[in-house]
Amino acid sequence: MKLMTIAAAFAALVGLATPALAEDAKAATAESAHAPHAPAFTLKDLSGKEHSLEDFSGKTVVLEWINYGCPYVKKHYESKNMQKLQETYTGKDVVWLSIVSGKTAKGFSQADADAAGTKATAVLLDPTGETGKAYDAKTTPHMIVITGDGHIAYDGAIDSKASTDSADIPNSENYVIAALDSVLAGKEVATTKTKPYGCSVKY
Amino acid sequence: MFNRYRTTAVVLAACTCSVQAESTAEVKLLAPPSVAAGSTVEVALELTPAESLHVYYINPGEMGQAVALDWQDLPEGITTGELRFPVPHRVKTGELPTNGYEETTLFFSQLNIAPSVEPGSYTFKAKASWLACNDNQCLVGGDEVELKLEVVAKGGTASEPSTQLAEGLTLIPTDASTDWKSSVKKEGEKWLINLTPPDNWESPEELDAFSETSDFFQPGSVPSIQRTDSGLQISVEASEYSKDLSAAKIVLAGPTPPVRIPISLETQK
Repeated sequence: MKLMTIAAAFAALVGLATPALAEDAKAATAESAHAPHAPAFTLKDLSGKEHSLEDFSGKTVVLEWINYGCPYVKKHYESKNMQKLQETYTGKDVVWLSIVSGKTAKGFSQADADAAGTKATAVLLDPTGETGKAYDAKTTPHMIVITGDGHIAYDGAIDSKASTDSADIPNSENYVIAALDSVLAGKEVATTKTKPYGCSVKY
Repeated sequence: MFNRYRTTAVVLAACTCSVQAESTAEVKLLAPPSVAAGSTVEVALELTPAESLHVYYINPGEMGQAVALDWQDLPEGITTGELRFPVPHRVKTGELPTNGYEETTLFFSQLNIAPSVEPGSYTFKAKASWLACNDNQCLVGGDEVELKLEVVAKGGTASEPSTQLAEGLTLIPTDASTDWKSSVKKEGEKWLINLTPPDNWESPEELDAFSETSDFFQPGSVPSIQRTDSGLQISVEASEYSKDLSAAKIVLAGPTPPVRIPISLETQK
């Protein structure tokens, strides 16, 4: 008799807890369903190996448009801000792809990536700029966060201060961290789009 | 950290990062040789971008960073106003529409000399900074600039500004008088701005408009300006990021000097 009462109490507790979780997951899915679909791409990395977005289906993916010569990219690399983000989130099973679109891809080598100390999953070359254009990547950096079901959860600037000064980083709101943390927790992303800042992508 | 100041041999020695051997712009401060205590004087930062590079307007557009001037250690009794920008050109940086300057440009700052400032020679230093870009690259630039100013007694004879300074000042927008009226509404993807100038205002033939406030006009969009019964109507593509703006400042180019007009966006939010 006592066992059944405890079991019943437990079942009641579980019954109460489940609807709240279901609501969060629904919000995340509904949000995701309204978000733009992430365009497919297949690009080569610096060793010539091809990677497609669909290879990472089910995983959260970050696209980071780069040009290591751009002062805005240097702001985040010389301060090690970007590498820290790459390391933290690849450690949480996020796939982090740095993309080089347009003229910047010419002559871009592993040595460049090594010099920058990148911790990205891969650096992909988009010399025709087709993938950059598909995502409307305007600047370096320009950040895109893609959910496991292929929707764009965030599109825009890395953070809230459009400067070349790394001293601004600690006082800036980092939109990528906020988006990734929300996506990984199955929650709605508060800020889905901001104006990107950086140097122009050299299409 | 990429060094912000003019790249010279000294910097090369101190920094292992890649630097340009040439400067990205030449800068100097211009002012009348003497000013009277108890007066306001217009001082100009003269900036000449290096060949093929441009620097940016207060509202740079889709990318860029405005020219800035930071005064250092001002003597007691001397205060400064914000840097004021002449009407820019619409310049492309790569594919991105931006607002900037490719040639020698004068940016103005007011110096207010309190009546208490003793007559004598004063040296002012400031740090000028800018982002200089072309289609291929962007470079952070900066330099220290110095000004020697003679302060004469209040009521004394101060020198006139040079022709260069006087002409440069006519290109700097002045605030519209309170006789100007403005209203704005959103129609589709466009802002429709109605302006009613003062009764005696004569409109020049050619008019243009720029926004000093970022994220108001869509960068690169050329406003269409029509004459109406009450004045002027400006029709311009709205920036996709203009939702959160409560106010903006626009500049009507054509008149000399250009006119800076405040626009309230409170009713649009």
